[in-house]
Amino acid sequence: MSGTSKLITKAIDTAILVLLGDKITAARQREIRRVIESVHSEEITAEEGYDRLRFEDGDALDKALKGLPAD
Amino acid sequence: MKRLWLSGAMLAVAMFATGCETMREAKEIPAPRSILEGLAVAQGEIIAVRDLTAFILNANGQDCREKPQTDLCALGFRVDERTRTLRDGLDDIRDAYLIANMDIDRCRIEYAGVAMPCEDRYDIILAGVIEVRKQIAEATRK
Repeated sequence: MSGTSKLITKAIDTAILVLLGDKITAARQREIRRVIESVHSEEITAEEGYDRLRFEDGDALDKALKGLPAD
Repeated sequence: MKRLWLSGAMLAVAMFATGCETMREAKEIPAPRSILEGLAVAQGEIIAVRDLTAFILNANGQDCREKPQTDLCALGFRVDERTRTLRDGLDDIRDAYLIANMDIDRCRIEYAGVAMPCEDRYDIILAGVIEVRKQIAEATRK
């Protein structure tokens, strides 16, 4: 593979990473929105909303750092 | 070569079409109406940062148990530590907020082995401050 091809492949890989990363973060933003909307419509209390959005030990980052398989 | 350019172009179109999804979703989060709601949003953003860090580590096939650590793993551990500190700090603020908004009948000032009922709004805030100091002292001892 020529240098240009390698560069393009690398650029595509990076772009895919950015796109997927954006999707993952967007999913979390949607979750935040859903929780806050539920609080506003009084389905749950603000305290419950806070607990739902709080990360607990053993999340994806914990697994990635400890080398455990992701869910 | 042609196929590579084509996939690059398709990806560029996909990115353009998708726009920045995160920004779009973030804009639609309703404005928090109280400190507690604001804290909930902050907690959600912390999860988002942790998810993204995990994704980057996994996508790059990093095994962070290996020594010496790669720069990416070192960054991952730093994000982990910072987000934990932030989470615990937000918990302290939440506790203080809940105490400061406590019903006066349930409020007690507990200090130096003595417990007394709160008599006014200032007592409630004082009880909150004492509670947070107690929690910080406990967290420091751990």
